[in-house]
Amino acid sequence: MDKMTGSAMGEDTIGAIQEGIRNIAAEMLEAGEVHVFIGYEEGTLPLRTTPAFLTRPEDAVRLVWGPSCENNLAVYLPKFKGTVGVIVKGCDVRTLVNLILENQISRDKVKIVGVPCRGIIDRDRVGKALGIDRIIKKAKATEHNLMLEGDGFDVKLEFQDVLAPSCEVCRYPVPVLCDVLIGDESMARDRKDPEAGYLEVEQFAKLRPDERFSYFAQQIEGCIQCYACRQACPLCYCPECFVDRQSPKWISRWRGLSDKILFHLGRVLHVAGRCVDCGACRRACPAGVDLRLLTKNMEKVVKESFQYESGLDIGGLPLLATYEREDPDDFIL
Amino acid sequence: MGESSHRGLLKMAKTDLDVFVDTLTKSSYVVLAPIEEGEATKFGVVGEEKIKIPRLTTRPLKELFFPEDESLLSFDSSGTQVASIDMSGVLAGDGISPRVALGVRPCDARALVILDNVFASEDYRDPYYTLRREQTTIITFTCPLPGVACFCTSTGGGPYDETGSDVMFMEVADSYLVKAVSEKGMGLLQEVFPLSEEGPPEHLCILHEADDEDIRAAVEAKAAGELPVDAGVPVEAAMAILGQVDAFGDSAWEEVYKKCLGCGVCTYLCPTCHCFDIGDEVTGASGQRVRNWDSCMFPLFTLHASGHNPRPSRKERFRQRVMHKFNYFVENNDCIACVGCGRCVENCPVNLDIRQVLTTFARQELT
Repeated sequence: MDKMTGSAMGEDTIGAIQEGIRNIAAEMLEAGEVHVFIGYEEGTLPLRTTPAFLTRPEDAVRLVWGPSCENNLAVYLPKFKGTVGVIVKGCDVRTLVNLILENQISRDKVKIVGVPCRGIIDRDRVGKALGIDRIIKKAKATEHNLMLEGDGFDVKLEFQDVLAPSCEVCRYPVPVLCDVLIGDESMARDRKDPEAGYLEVEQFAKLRPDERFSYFAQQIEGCIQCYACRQACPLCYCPECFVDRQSPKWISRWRGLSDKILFHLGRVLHVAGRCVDCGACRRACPAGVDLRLLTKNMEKVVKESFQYESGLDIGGLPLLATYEREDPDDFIL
Repeated sequence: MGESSHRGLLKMAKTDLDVFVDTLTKSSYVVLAPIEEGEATKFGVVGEEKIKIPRLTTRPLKELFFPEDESLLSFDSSGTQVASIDMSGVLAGDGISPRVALGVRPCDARALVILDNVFASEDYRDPYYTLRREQTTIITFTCPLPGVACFCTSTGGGPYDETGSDVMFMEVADSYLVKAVSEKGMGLLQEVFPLSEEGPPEHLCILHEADDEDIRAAVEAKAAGELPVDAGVPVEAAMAILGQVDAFGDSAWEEVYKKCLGCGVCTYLCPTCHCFDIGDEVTGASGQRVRNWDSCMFPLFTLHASGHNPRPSRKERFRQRVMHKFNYFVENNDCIACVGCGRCVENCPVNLDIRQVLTTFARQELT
């Protein structure tokens, strides 16, 4: 298919992908290729979808596709026994690749259904664009626009303006690994240059250390230690997170800015060379804590130092499991 | 005369809200109202900025009484002996002077009455919670804009519910209609806001008696106000099922919990969730005994020292949360531990909606 223009075409693309997902899910379940199929179904709120776990082919009609399919479903994979079918976007599959690489799931136990991604909607951005306390009753997405209805308003937003920050600079909108690709590559967003993703980081790096610290401290201040960021991250799969250890106890909840910082820095460092900027942590946070500048910088350091991009290849070893004598170490304090 | 006139419905121009707050502050009340913290909103001491009252704060009102963390006592020990334990300093040091929480929504106010069952009951009166409760007057603003996740009318509340409030503010056109709901609320209004007819001439008078037209407008607003709230959540039908012995082992739990990520968003943002942990924070020979929020959604919550965990998976933990709110708490205290504020619905990272869970059980034949 050629590049599409116009909202009607966009809507059709979304519809076509949705149809494709339903068909493949039904087929896989019918043929017994998978025990469970994980996709998205209609959520209970406007702009929301919700993960669906299907075991019967006739339920495949419940599956939906669109720019509100924001959850990274790879997070559920390690806990399933048997073969699982799963819908992945470009970023999701890179976390899945890491899970395979790190022996958390077995490649032959997962049927990967890839979707060429046009980006997902950032609900905070929608809220900001719309103004405070305007309650959205209905939302509809097309290729270029997002139509929102509520009491006394009917607004058309440019999709570009409410796109998730990670999607804006996405390098891999087409899944790098899948058993089935729904539609074709031309249905995805255009790939962005790697440099585009690092502009903000480079700007931020020019600030003084105390300014940078105060930015992060401010972000982390509102953290309520609900650990939604950790739970939503497919790569945070430790059976026992260091913050949950009781002896020794690493983290206190008492007047805890420094403890909160320790948790967040610990988490960011622990996903170094693994994080793919899917944005799940940021979206899950009820307090709006945003540490993307930190994770993005980590990604940049890894790329520049080791010419390594996370989650692209299930062959070889994870970055931090390898060592070469020539490895640069100038980023180490 | 003065007392009886404060008993009626009063009226204040909307533009006088800042004067109202100033007057409270000048009368030595600490005014707590919705403030912004990054992207979120919560109750905190008001600053210089104009007061903005959001539809619903991100964080619940409960933290003014049951904070995220607090010191219960401080101690000092030498050798194996505890030299001194001090509670008074902590209570006084909290800076609890009389406070007014302003811009509360009816669901959050109602939640306090539910929390009183836990922290201020005949069986147990928690000194920290009750002191803060006693020192705080709740000024509730009726809810003109229920959200799509709201279901207060399904849990016994409503946008005009007065439960837990001391004073109600109702928005009608350019005014607030003001009503003292409790003796405490009445006392505050009488003390700080004499009516225009009775105050000394130099006193700033912003409260007036409402007339018949205002009263009519209030009745109309109230009748229209409850309509947009989702009243269709079958809470009672679900409770009837959850109350049966077989509910605990029902196969539906296997399905409803599946998407749960196991984070603490729903519990920490819930205005009625009240579980906590207590630990010591010690430096050298002295330290604090600290109480902080805890969540039944975390494995650590029930992990025994032996390593055994009676709620080993998210299924058991999710079941606990639902059962506690709609069954155990009801049995113990005769009220549901949910006010239908919708925070857990709106903020759940995977849109696991308690309304749907209740609907599932309301329809369920136990298996």
